Amino acid sequence: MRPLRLLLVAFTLLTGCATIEPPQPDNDPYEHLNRDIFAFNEAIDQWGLEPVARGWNWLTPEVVQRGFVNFFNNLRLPIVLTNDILQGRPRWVAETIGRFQANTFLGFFGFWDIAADFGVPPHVQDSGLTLARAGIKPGPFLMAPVLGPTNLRDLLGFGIDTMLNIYPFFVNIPYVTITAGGIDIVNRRSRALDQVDEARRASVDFYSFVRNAYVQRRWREVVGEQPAGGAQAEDLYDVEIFEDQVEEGGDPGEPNAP
Amino acid sequence: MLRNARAGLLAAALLALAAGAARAESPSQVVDGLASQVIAVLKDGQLSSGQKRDRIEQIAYNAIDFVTLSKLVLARNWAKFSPEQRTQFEAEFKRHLSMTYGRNIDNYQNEKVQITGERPESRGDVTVQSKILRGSASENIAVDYRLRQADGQWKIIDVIIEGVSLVSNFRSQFQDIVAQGGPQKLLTLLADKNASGESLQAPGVKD
Repeated sequence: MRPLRLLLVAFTLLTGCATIEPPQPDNDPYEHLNRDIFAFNEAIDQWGLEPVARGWNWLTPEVVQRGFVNFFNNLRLPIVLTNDILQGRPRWVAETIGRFQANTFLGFFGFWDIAADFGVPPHVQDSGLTLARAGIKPGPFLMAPVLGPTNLRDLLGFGIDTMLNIYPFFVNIPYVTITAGGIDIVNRRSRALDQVDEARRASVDFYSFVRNAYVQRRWREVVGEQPAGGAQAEDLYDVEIFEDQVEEGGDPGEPNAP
Repeated sequence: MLRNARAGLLAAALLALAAGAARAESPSQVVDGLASQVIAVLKDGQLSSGQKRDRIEQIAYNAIDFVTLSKLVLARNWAKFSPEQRTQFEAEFKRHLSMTYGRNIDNYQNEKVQITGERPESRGDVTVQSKILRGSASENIAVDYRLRQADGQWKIIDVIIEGVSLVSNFRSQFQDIVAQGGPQKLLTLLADKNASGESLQAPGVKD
């Protein structure tokens, strides 16, 4: 468990200066490369993943799809539990252990999220959140091949999550783990068919849409329930700033102006 | 005669006053009213999809402050738009929203809306928090509405779905476009998008 010890050290070093800054959707120095990767991901989706997911969606009833989501969420136990502990949240630790037991033994190996039905819903948890709550900044926005939108911090978090994910070691049969991973991805995509369609329609620039949505949503996950004032930079709702500029003619507070 | 006219005037004034008082709803009441009006239309089996869309459009147009919304979405680029371009933007943006979200009308599956809280914000705004209930707790969607008072009425100026603000999202999309091609490019893009969406929506044609 070397990665775990490393994380613990990093965590204790960093909790001293834990301030979480509001998101900056425009921190995208590699935009050109990111857009190319995004086009590649879109092609994979449109010619590969999406058609398969549509087929899956046609084949499987709602209950089965939901069951698979629950099943794979349940397998994330080591990731969720480790980060609950690292973040020092005893209540989450208790919930996570209780949920795993209830769902595994009473919920048909996790296919039924019985714990949620009894008032203990899952909480969003991963290593990227631990890093964020320890005060590590997101760094530049990145579009990872196949994986999709992320940032430097969350990509590191994803790497740690992969190491924490111990079930492939127990089931050391590549055929099984790869099939399981495939089902997980196709099933999740099939649950989002309508949302992705709508997002593609609703956007004038789909890349910007995805980047902004990722940054905002991730911020919400980091801070949990939004504090007063919301997750937004203060000037988001200020109409006067723009109206004053007519007279001034300048663009104050715009670092990216060409 | 004169007395009757005066009495009539008084009655009219009182009526207007009462109507005004009834109109001054709290932000939560505004959102709640909006939700129940929309759901009533969605549930109405006698209406065609097109009629439903028209009615919901009307309800939304009454509840949303499109002028403020347009300003917020264009942000500092607002200054670059001429008065005509502003009006044009408002119209195209309205149509864009109604077309993208209006297509969901036939997907209604008995979802319900629950107001979960209200929170004061800076600039005198209020955020109304709500949940769209979809059967299971983990599939519910958190939707926040930010409202601002204009002429004594609370109007929606932003919708925040699962933490993603519509204003912030469109702002970042439009920023690059205006930076590259100016206001005209954005207007053309929106108009094209709306026109192509219109043809997609022709009767009998599905996704």
